[in-house]
This record gives sequence, C-alpha cells and structure tokens, in this order.
Amino acid sequence: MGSAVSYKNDTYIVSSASESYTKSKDILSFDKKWRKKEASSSFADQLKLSVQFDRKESFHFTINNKVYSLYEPLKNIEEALDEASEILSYEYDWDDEGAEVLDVTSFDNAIEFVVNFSNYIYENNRKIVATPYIDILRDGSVSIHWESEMNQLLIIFDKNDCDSYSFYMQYGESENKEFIKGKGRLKENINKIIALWMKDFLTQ
Amino acid sequence: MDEGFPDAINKGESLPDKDRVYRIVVNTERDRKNKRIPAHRCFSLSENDNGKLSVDWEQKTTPEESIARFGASFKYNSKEFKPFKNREIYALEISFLKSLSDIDDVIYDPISSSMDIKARVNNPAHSLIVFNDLFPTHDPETYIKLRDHAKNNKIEVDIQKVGDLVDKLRLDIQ
Repeated sequence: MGSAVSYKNDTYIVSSASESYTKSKDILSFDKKWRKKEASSSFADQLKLSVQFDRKESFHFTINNKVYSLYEPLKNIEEALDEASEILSYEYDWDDEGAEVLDVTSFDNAIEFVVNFSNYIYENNRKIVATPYIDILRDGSVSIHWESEMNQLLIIFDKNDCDSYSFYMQYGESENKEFIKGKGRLKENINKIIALWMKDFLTQ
Repeated sequence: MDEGFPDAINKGESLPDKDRVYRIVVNTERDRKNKRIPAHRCFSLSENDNGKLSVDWEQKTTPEESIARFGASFKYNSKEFKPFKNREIYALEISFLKSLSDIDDVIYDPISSSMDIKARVNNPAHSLIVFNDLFPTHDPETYIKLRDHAKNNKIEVDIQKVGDLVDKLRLDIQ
C-alpha cells in the first residue's frame, strides 16, 4: 500500500508523505535541481523570466474577472477552465437536493492551482498535463479531478478551509493500487511533490 | 414498515452487510462530455445533510420506483416538480460502505408523510449513509473510493416505466 497519512493530525502532511518518495532516485534529483534553482533565482530573475514568458510563449485569458497566462501549448487547460465557469452560475438547490451555491474563493483557488501547476510542469519538463475536471461539491466547495487510464488525482478546495487544500493521488494496476494523500498549503506556490507526481503520472 | 418482511428492520437500525443501497445521481451535459458519471460531487455532503447521505435500500424498492419518487417531489421552495430524466442510479454495497473509515453505519430511515403535505412522497426504502463525527467535511480518498465503486455498479433503469410511475404519483399528489 501507499504512504497514507491521516489528515486528522494537525501537521503538514505532505512532508510526511514524502518520506516514501525519498526512496525514488528521480525525486531526489528533481528536488535537488529545484532547490538549486530556487536558491539561485532572485526576485529580479523571476520577474525577468515572467516577462519573457508572457511575451513569447504564452496567451492570456479571463476567468471570473481574473486574468491568467498559460504556455501556448496548454490550450486544453484553458478550455477546461473556461468550461468550468459554468458552475459560477449555479443557483441554490442546483441538484434539486439542497445543494449550495459555489464558494467563489475556492473556485479562484482551484483555477490558480491548475494554471500554476500546468505552467510549472510545462516550463520544467515540456510536458502537457492531462485535462482536468473542475467541479462544484454539494456544499459549494470545489474539486479538481485528473484521471488517466490507471491514475487519478482528486484535489479539494474546502470552502471552510482558508489555509490548505486536500489531495489524494492514486496510481498503479487495479489489484495493486498505491496512493498518497495529504494537505498542501494555499500560500505555497507550487507543491513539488504533487508537481512531480503529476509530471510522471498525469501528462499527455 | 413492511410487516411481511421476514427480517424486519426498524427505523434507525443498521442494514445488513450483504445488501445494497441505491444512490440517485444527477448527470449533467458537462459530466457526459467529460466522462465523469457519476461525478464525485454526487457523494459529497451539503451542510443541510447533517453528515448523512440519502440512499434507498434495494430490498424495499425497484430502481424505477426510486427515480419516480424523486420525480414526484417538488423542488425546494417551489411547486415545480423535480426533473427525473437526467437522473441515474448506482448501487453501493453496504459491506463496502462500512469498510470505509469515514463511514460509521448505513441505517434504515423510512419516510412516511401525512397525505396533506403536498409533494412529499412516502419512501419505505429511504436509508442513510452515516459519516462519522471525525469525518472532515471533504475527504478526497473517500470520494474517489465511492465513485470508483459506484462506477462499476450502474443500475439500468426502464425510463418508460419511470415516466408512467411519475405520472401516477403526481396525479395522487395533486
């Protein structure tokens, strides 16, 4: 079985989950490379990178009055996000069973998550993340689901949790499924464990 | 309560592990296009649910009756009947549900309304999946497991039969 970490503990679970990941050579080298990059890049460097990115390789689009940028090949992502805007218009009782309206902050967080991770994975690996399904939950919280033949990732932006999102990543053959679950911090720009997992298991 | 039923179970008691319950889910055009039926949201709780998800006990209903009861109920705060043609039914094994750490029990909770309450249909099959007190509002692991299990247990429904039942129930109500 995978490295399940209960999130009833009030701890930052991603770091616990990464213990099993440290067995992987790939992940170690990825992490090392990332740390090196992070240490050497100043804010000015990051800004410069961002300007180059904006001008040459990206396109802009608007969702819920916010402007986002994606790398040019990530059109599938933009289409999925645009389609997901439909849930902004759902009214109370949209399922005829008492479901609540969308929590707009959770929606914005979910959109930002998809944009940031898709760009990050493309920028570092030139890989295109599979198309996500962004959906409303019955209390107005928001979920993002990625699914490939054998793997899936479900992320939930709970409207009652302003600091973190929860995730569950499942992979492997049906008789021998592995999983990692935990919480990520909303303020953290990119969670490297999730990004690496997505790169390996959910790219086209 | 069905008095003729051999292993009578009273309101609030656990349903047998060997049985199944039906969950009615809505499928939207987006769900169909993205091949997300059933969607995870169909197993999520709203604040009005008080930690319990409504299902129907298979022993006390047919799939057609389950959807028909839904179609013969009024929408929230309205005198408009609920749409039923965009609904599907998935079976959930009670032993599977009880194996999930977030679920405490699956209990029998029949609904019988007095005849003067408009558009409240008696439901002798109504039951509840009871989530435990420690269940965080949303656990993605539980949703993935519920949806994966349900996906393999879609119940075929005779929509013509449902339509006939809905017409009859709506007439009884009006």
